[in-house]
Amino acid sequence: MDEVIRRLNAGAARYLLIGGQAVRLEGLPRFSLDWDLFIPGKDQANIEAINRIMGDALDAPLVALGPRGENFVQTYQTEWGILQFHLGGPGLPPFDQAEARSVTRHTEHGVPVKCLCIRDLLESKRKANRPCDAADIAFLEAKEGLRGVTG
Amino acid sequence: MKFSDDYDAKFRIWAAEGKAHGMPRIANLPSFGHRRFDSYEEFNAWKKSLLDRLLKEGGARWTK
Repeated sequence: MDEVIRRLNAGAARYLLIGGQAVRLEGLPRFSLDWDLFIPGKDQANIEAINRIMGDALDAPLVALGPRGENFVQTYQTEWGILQFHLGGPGLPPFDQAEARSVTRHTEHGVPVKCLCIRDLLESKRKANRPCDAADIAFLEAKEGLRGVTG
Repeated sequence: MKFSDDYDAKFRIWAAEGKAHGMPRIANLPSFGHRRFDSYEEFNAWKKSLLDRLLKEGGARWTK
């Protein structure tokens, strides 16, 4: 998935990595089936830019969030794995706020990735509150404690 | 309790390290076309069906 991130970075796309992969980049050894990217749901220029950047890798165009929240998650199977665009969702702050607080982490291959900050990541995991989130929450709380809540 | 069984300790160690660990990839993920979801219920149901398909095919085969 490094290739996708490189393309998004090179194209100055607005995105933030969330979910299990974001927790993994914080340092928790874990597996995740997919890469979850939070993007601004109604930023049409950004959506068009992502479609252009991803080209044929997406088998249908990414579309904006509908007036009643339609299409808030859009999933693609790519040659690099499952890519999920989240255009909103429970536990996620407004994108502009999340982007202002975002942090840069690195993949195991050194590719920089824009990520949700620890506090927002923790909040999103707490809101989701699925059994599979328990380890993520415990890890993020340990990390938050070490850093004094800075993200 | 062995130290290695203490997950709180492990979390503290991993949190302090802050290093991204590599992850295997699934070699036999069932293929699917793009999907758009209007609710988490719909999204979670689809995800469960994908995992069920994977299980029916004998589970995940991992690769680097």
